[in-house]
Amino acid sequence: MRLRDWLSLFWAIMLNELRIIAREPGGLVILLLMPYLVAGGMAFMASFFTRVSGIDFIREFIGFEVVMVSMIMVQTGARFISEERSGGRLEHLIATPVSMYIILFATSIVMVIVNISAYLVASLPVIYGVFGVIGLLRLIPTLVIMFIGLMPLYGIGLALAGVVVRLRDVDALMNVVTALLSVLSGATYPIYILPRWVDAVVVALPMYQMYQTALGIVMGSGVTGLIYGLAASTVAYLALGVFTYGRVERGMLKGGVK
Amino acid sequence: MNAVEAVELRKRFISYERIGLIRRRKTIANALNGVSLNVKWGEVYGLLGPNGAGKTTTVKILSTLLIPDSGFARINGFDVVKEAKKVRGIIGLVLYPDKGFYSRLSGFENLVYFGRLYGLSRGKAEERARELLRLVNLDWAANRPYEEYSLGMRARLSIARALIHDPPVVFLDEPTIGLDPVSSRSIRDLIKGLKREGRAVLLTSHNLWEVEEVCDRVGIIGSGKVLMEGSPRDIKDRLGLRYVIEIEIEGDSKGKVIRVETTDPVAELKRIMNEIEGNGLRISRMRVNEPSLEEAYIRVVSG
Ligand SMILES: Nc1ncnc2c1ncn2[C@@H]1O[C@H](COP(=O)(O)OP(=O)(O)O)[C@@H](O)[C@H]1O
Ligand SMILES: [Mg+2]
Repeated sequence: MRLRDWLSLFWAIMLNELRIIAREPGGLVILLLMPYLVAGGMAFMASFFTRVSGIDFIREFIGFEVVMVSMIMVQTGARFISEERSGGRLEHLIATPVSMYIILFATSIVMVIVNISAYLVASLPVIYGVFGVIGLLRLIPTLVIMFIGLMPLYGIGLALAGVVVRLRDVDALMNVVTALLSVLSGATYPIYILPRWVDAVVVALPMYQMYQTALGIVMGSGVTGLIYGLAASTVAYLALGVFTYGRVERGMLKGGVK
Repeated sequence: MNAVEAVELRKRFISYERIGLIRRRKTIANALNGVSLNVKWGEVYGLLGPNGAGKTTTVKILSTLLIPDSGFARINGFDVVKEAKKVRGIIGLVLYPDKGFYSRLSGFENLVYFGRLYGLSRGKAEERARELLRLVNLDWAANRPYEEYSLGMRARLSIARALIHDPPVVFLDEPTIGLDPVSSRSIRDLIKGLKREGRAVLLTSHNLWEVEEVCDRVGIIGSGKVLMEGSPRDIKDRLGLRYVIEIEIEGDSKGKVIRVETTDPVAELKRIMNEIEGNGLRISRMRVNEPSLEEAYIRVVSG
């Protein structure tokens, strides 16, 4: 296949996913409003004790953005697999000559784009309100950081997708993962309150790296070494995901899609 | 070269059943115990058997969705395990006639998408989708969402998808299951069309009467083995399947009933009718009972 054909196929898969999302009512609205509600609620509660500044609000806000977007990203692969399976489509997708990696990757890119757009739309007014125009300019590189940061999360998601294929109950697993992620993201509270070893786990996960890097840029305080961590995470977690999913697909072909 | 060739396929499933809170019980299902069969070009082969006989397992192995424990299979000479990608490009597949599409998308959008996955360009996929929707008589519902399709429409759309890339080999796993007689008939007509185009078709069913007219050859599968193979006529004879014809003659005060058992109901009916009319009698009531397949299956399976 030539490159043009590949791109055209990739685009077809993305378009299909977009179409499906667009016909799913309500999903996008929640995505946009959630960080406001949560960060707003936190700020409201905190305001009983101290005066909450715009900066504090932004810290919370970006934290929740990162957690939200991460959760969706990590769940994307697993949800896709389980939905395709229950809809009787998974085997038909496997039966085409296109590798499932391509299909999973293209559908995830759509989720990345949707999520980043949601992040952008949700952040614009807050950032403008606190930092003015300069804040908006700083928002642009954070988009790139988010884009990169979502890749390792996709890798983790791919590994999870593999686990999901073996389990019947996806929702139970996803609830556990969601809870773990929001604790381990370190994006919604100061991580020094955690035990040291949990601290180390948090720093090794892409959410925290993504959060700190994006926050540094928005605040105008520059990026730290965590950006290298993010790059390393991208490679490591993507590789982990690809490896795990590959093994699982093979297992699926041995044990049957249930 | 045969279109489809399967030799001594074996497959065993191990699954775990939860008993109590954490304890699990291991269950082993020997789904296939050495299935061998082949399908020639331009032939419709019917794989017949009761539920759990191993029909779906066989179809999935042949369509690269399951790896056999032992034995091998080739489609147009390509090995289903080692050359899976090549096999995928030349087979069309119907697995579940009632699902397997995106419910929010229209029949047309669904077909075009799968066409793209099979490597067609957008223009080509759209053209082919339109053509196939006409063929399966769904062009009037092309832009309706799949979730609004009836069972019969879904089954026809499945067949359209199986043909989207114009594959020379087609596998249909119980394509008429749950369909009303009119829908089943339209599916059978489609299958006859596939045969005329020279494709090799493997069709599974648990009902011989439904598929006998479209199959050139049938194999009876039971307990994971092909137990008997031959033309539908041949199989019916060997299974000892007999129709029961009951005819009540008019005017006779006792309500005389003629009861005949036969393997060829059409010829037998003609003969009886001629006889009755020749004697100047009239028929008041008539019934033809199909023989029970389940009984015949059980006889064959238990040797
Ligand atoms: N994925 C699976 N895991 C465990 N057992 C299975 C699986 N698929 C099929 N089986 C078992 O294998 C046997 C054959 O099943 P199948 O091929 O679906 O039969 P059929 O299609 O003829 O009804 C059955 O006993 C079934 O329970
Ligand atoms: Mg079956």
